[in-house]
Amino acid sequence: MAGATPTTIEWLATHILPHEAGVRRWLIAGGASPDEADDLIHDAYCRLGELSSVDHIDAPRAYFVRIVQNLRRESFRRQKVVRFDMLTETHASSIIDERADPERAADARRQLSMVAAVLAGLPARCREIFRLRRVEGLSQREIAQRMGVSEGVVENDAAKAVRHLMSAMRADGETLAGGTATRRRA
Amino acid sequence: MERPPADARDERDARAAEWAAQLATGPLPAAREAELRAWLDTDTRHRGALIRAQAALAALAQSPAQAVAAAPPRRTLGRRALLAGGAACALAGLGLALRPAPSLATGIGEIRQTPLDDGSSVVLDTATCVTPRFSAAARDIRLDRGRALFRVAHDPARPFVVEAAGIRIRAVGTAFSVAQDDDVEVLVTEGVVEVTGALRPARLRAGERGRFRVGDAAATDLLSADAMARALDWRDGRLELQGQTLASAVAAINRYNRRPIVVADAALARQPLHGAFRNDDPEGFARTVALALGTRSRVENDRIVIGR
Repeated sequence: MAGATPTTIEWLATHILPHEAGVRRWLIAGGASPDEADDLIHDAYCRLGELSSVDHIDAPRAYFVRIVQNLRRESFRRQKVVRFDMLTETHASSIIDERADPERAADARRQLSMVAAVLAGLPARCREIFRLRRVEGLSQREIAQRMGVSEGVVENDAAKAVRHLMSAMRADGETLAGGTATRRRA
Repeated sequence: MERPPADARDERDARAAEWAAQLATGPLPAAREAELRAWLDTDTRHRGALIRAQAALAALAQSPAQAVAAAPPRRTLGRRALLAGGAACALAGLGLALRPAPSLATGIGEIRQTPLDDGSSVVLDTATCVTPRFSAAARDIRLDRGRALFRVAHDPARPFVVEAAGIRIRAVGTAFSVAQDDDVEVLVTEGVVEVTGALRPARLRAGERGRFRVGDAAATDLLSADAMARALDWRDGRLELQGQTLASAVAAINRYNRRPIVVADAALARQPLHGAFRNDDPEGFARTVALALGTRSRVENDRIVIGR
């Protein structure tokens, strides 16, 4: 399976994931429906996952936004609909200003507390799995051995936590969009 | 297109999460891998969902310290450029002890900061040459080519005058940059400068930018603090783009590199770009931009091509 490299995945986790909610919020505020936003974000992850190297990306959040923006233009073109695009360049520059350090730091903090909340809400065994990973740096295979359970059990617990985090991130982006999160239909 | 029921998204996430967790244990057995491939092929969104799930798993597995430590952006180039400048300063200092001073020059891709013997300093951008001619009565500097940022030591008795393509920029104690291209661009970061040589004399204050040509009317505008900072980003070896076209970004990058980037078609060249890039890595720039614009880039012997 030619997937994203481990380095790219780590980079996505650190530099892109924290901004997902903000980008989703921005898309929805710009007129995208929650589903369109979801699709665009998935497509963007797909593109980002293809990166063989991330060393040259100095401004990950701006890069992320740029990809989403281009995907949205492409999708307008595909749909052959003329549509008032609220995602103007000026609108975009407010979200991708990498100098806005307070905001970037806030995104990072928000993400950390979301991760902490997801972990705290897990059953004890599942929490222990992530403690072993985070604190002792064990691999999933080693965790299974240490805890005397099958690899499948560890995988199931890990998948459960991932699911919680994914839906928490989506909900964060959609609820923060506030009143504009209502679905729009052409 | 009808909205999929809310649980379709949850279902997709659930499958993506399972695959991410299994991939984290190790390579999949052949049968499972075929199954994964089939799942990825049923919907183009599945691949993105899987990558997002893998990133989510990595985020859960990262220790908080790791996540925070990785957060500040990397800016190593600026420091490297300054270190290189330090070595150059020593040499320039020796040269400046003799009058008339020899020219100070940078090669392609080089950015150098140099003190002048009156206490002023100058930062030379790539492929730039300046010739200082200091005397007891005057501080004259000719900008032969390129771009330079001057930080002028206050000395009312000896005006500081930069000459570029027939345009003279006079300062007392101030900071400003001068770039010589089709015209002479002057950007004032502190204080006031007087510019002569264009149709009529002009005064530029901090935050103002003017474009001048001998005998022509000047064009001046006021920059926001942000725009000003961006306009001076070249000092850190960074190129900050806020909606400039690919064509103008490529022109800027090419000034720093021997192997030029070319854009394959005109429509692509007009695309606006956002983001910050290092100006010493044209291949990385081309790759990144190509990906963002949904096209390809390739490196050839004597050039780098963006577009198909």
